[in-house]
Amino acid sequence: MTQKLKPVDVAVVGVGFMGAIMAKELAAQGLKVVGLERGKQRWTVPEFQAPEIHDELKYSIRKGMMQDVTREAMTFRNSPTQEALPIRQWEAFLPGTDLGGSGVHWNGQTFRFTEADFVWRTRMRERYGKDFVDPSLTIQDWGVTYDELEPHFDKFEYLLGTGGKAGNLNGKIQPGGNPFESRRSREYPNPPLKEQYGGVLFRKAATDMGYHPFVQPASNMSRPYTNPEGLQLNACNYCGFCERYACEHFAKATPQTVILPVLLKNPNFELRTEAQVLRVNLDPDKKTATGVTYVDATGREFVQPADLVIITTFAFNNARMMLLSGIGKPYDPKTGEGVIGRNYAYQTTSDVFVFFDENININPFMAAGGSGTLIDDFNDDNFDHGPHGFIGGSYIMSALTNGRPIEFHPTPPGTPEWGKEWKTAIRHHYNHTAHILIHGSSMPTRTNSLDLDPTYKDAWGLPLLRMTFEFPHNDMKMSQFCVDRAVEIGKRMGAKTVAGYPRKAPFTTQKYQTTHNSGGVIMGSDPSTSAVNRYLQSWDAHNVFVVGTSAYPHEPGYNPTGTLGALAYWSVDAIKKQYLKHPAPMVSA
Amino acid sequence: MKLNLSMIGALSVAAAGLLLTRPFAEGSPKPDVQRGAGIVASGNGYGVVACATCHALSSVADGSGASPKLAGIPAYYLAKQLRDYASGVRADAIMSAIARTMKPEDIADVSQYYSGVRGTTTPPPAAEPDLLALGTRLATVGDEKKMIQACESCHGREGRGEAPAIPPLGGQYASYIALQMKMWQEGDRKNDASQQMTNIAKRLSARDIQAIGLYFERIPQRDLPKKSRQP
Repeated sequence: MTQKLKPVDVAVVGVGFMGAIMAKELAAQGLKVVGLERGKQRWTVPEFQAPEIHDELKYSIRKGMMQDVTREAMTFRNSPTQEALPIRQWEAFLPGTDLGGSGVHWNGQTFRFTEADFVWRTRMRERYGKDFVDPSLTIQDWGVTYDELEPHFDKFEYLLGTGGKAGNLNGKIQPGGNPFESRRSREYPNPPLKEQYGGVLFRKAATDMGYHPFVQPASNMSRPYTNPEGLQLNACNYCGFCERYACEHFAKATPQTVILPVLLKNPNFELRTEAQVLRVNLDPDKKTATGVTYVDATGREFVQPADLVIITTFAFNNARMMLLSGIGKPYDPKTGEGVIGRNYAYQTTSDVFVFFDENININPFMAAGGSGTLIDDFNDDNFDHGPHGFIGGSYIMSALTNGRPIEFHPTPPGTPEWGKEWKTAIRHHYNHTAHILIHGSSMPTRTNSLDLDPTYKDAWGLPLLRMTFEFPHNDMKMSQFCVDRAVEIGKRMGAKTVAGYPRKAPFTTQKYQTTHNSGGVIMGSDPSTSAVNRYLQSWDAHNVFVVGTSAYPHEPGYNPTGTLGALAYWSVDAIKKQYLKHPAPMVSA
Repeated sequence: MKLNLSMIGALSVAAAGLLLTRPFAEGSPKPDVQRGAGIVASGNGYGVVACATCHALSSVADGSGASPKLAGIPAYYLAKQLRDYASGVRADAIMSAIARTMKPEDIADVSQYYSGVRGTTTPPPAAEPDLLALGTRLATVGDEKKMIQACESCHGREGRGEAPAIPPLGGQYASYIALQMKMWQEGDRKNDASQQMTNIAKRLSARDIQAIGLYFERIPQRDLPKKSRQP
């Protein structure tokens, strides 16, 4: 028996970072907002307190904070000719669950995409000619520009308390910052984090080689901070338990520390946890949504009518929600037509390990999630790709996020993978190894996509999402090029051995790479090639907004969260200023 | 005060064994525990009075709470406090004057001595149950509304400390803990670069502070595991 509830103005599906931002802004407008979160409530106190929160087995190995695969998994295959099978344990990427979503267990790395990223297709054709880009790459422009987003980037960084050094203040290049970044209107709210020793060695080497090193912008507090919402955060103490964990110190920007307490104080907002949304309901003409259907923890089904539905359920889950609700034409890789599931992209990460003599102590355990010293010289469109035959790039960063005992045991090539020699090698190298992360872009292709699995279903009987993904040749070429540059830097750092691992096909879900999944509900200016318009409003049902990295037509070489926060503020700003006065498509198709 | 030499001798042997694994002493001479014991018992002859006058040899002290128990506190932490007293970032009318007369080796030796002393349990003061419950909650769980993490998130289970930089609190005098929290609160003590303690203390009420002290004082002193006693 489905119970129909009293209508509300807004239903927000998923209460993570973006859900909390959208809900907070709309509730402040006087709208009745309900937040539906499939997981449970959790707070810094008591759930995140040490020593329990530093349980490496529970959180890193058994993925204690991630989407429950026994209830809601996804299937995977490398190519459309294979049969997809369910992912039974998260490894390559780690989608979070419970209040705050993946915003609780993230590392805090907070970048902005560049001007070029938002006009990627145009930029590539203008700079390199129309035949340069591999025709199998389905790159597109985003329908929004960096300049339009700049105030919203700024707002998000001040919400988070991001620490960094500006490299480009209103067009003026600043010493110590990233000279390749696009113009920012003011400094970061906080100074950069302290550098790790590996970072210091990297900085020296990179400077000597003529590159432009800087400290990674991060939302682990570099000093005590009070954000514009009035919430106070403490300084990070570099404990090395950030990613995959929650912060016990109120020192990492998470929904719980930077926005949720303010949202929950607003009587216009109601949070319902353990509310599994099954679908967005549509009018018979399928032009507008009428609300959502969800199931609570006891299995009772409810219909929550709402005038506005905002979907913020994590990148690929957004695509699944659209498919389950029948909003937008599903993408078909055979014809290249359709929009939901289109342009799924990932991140092409690669690694270089720099092994020193025992007289150099790296102290990997002294780390914030966002610790890192990097160069942006080979990222994005910051260098001439003409001679290299690929597009995109990577930042190259000396970074160690932890020295945790189960996970961190670097050994040089040729070391046995078990036994006495392995153990000796770990003892030998544990404190004398630096890591260089090559964090690269991911270009969309015609076959890399998302759809509903024909076979496997979740705990509520609904089809799982099926992911089809393989690294494009373009991206593997890019990875090799950037790994070669990183190896050169590693050698210059004074290493005994430098081992580079460029990314190679096949992509496997069994090795951790990053949780930066993107695409599937992409933004754009043409309804035949994008699912949402420049305001993240569905082309098909104008009162449905889809906020997530699902909107990215491709994944640039930067961590995605900063740009996502900017898009959320940009979208909700348009809802407030335009949509609420005149609820209709904000861009005519 | 009479010196119990046999006790100090035994301790110095135990401490000497631990010296082999001291990563923070690289490049500096190894601390001399026996010399440290001498300073504790009778002063250094050029400005330092016998530490034991206030802190006792076993560091049970006079029980007033004005002088903290020092037993089992990591040498790294004690030495840093002495240097901070001397520089003034942790200002104290008595300790700053004493610390300024101490040579680096005096600091190292005295710190090494107290870090190796086994603590003694003193009868805890009476506490009303509500206050104790509040202290237990703040120390072991924290307070979401005030945005205060559990004290034990850093100071360890039962306040055992996290060597070398985070001091143990278990068994410490409640009145001493309360005084320090008040000093953090009012900015008289500012030797925590992260400002963690300043910010936490500012969010605590006088009753919270009293309660936290009572919780920690009631924890019996125990033979701390060697690795947490020594850096």
